[in-house]
Amino acid sequence: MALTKDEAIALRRLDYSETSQVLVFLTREHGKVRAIAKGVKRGTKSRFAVGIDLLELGHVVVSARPGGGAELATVTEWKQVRSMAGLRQRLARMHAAEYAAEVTAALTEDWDPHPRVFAALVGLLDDLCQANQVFDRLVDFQRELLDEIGSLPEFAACLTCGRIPEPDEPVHFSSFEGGLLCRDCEPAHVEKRELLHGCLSILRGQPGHPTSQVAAFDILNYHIAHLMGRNPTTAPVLLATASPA
Amino acid sequence: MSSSRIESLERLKQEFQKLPGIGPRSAERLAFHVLRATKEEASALSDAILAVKRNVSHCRICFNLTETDPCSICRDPQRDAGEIWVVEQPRDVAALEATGLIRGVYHVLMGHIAALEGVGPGDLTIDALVQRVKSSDVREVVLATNPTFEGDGTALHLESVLADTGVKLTRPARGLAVGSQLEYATAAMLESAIRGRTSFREPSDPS
Repeated sequence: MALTKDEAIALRRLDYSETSQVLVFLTREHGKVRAIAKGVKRGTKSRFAVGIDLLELGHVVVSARPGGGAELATVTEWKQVRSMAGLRQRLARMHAAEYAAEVTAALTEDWDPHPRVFAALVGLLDDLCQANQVFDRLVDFQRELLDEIGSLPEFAACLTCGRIPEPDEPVHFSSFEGGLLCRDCEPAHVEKRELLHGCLSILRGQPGHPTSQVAAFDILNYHIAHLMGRNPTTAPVLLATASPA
Repeated sequence: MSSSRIESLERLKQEFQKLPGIGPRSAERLAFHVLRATKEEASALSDAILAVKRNVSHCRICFNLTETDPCSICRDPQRDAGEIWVVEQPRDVAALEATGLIRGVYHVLMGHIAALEGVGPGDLTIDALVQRVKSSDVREVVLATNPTFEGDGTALHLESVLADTGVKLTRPARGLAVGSQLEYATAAMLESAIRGRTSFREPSDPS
């Protein structure tokens, strides 16, 4: 067993026994790590002082077989660095952070390093701690995550004919095709979603109206759901809580 | 299958193994303990298990575990029904009751909202709490959910659904644990303690 030290964020936490929990961490240098924290729920009597909470940033030390493998690592140390307390002041912030945690856990592999995703997640959580609107930052995060795992859709030109759609031209998105469909090519495709007006510029990484940001989030979430094989459970809760009136 | 296998003993081991924190070795140890016990001791154990399943249910008012419905706390006329302590689990009631400081009554949510695990407000006793607050003379609701990500999220949700009732909403104080040391406190503990600091001696404090 080798000791691995890294910065980490807890993406998921499940009770294993009366006092132990299984945690899924995203670490900066080692990617996603699944580990058991024995005795973590004993509070001040445990080695972890006050437990390990979701979506806080900390330094973790885990004991694991060299190369990781399918086996659970064991958490031997945890020191909280930032509690991300601002998330807990608004439900929309919490649900946005939960969504980011769920899709990150689903779209990354164990022990597969993604320092860029880690940095994007820390940046997102820091921003959400102050945010009034959550969807603009979430769309940036979705784009960054998809780009890093090699699944960012193509929004510049139609994937079928290569034509750049005219401004205000009705366009569609196909997750299966992985990008944009112009009005001429769209009828030939069954799996597609219509892009609402103002949504395309946001999907291309430009700023936009809050309502269009929700639509852009929804399109990228549709693509993420396609990759995950199911709709993220946190998405409907987030949309119900955080959508602008 | 071995001919020396004792079916009833195997069955007992399998049943023990279903209990939380009990592995095959512990289950075997417990099964042999029962085997060595007298018939009376074994009967007492099985009777206790059956009695708890037969007699214990949830209080229809507060959802705490009870043998009488409503529970002894909800029936107690000395209790202040205008102050409701909202907790996640029945064992949280036991922990708060052990302090001897609570004069109010309780409401047990039977869990917390956890979107990541697919647990929503509809899976808890939140609707019953809202009805209870609206239909009785409640002054204060203390949101005593755990100070975790999910517990705080549940408290935020309760704040939103109870906002139009006009009831006073409070949270138990949080921060440094009694008996702990500053140098080992986390940033979150210190932040809560600093933000929630109180006067060294309250004006009403006689000491």
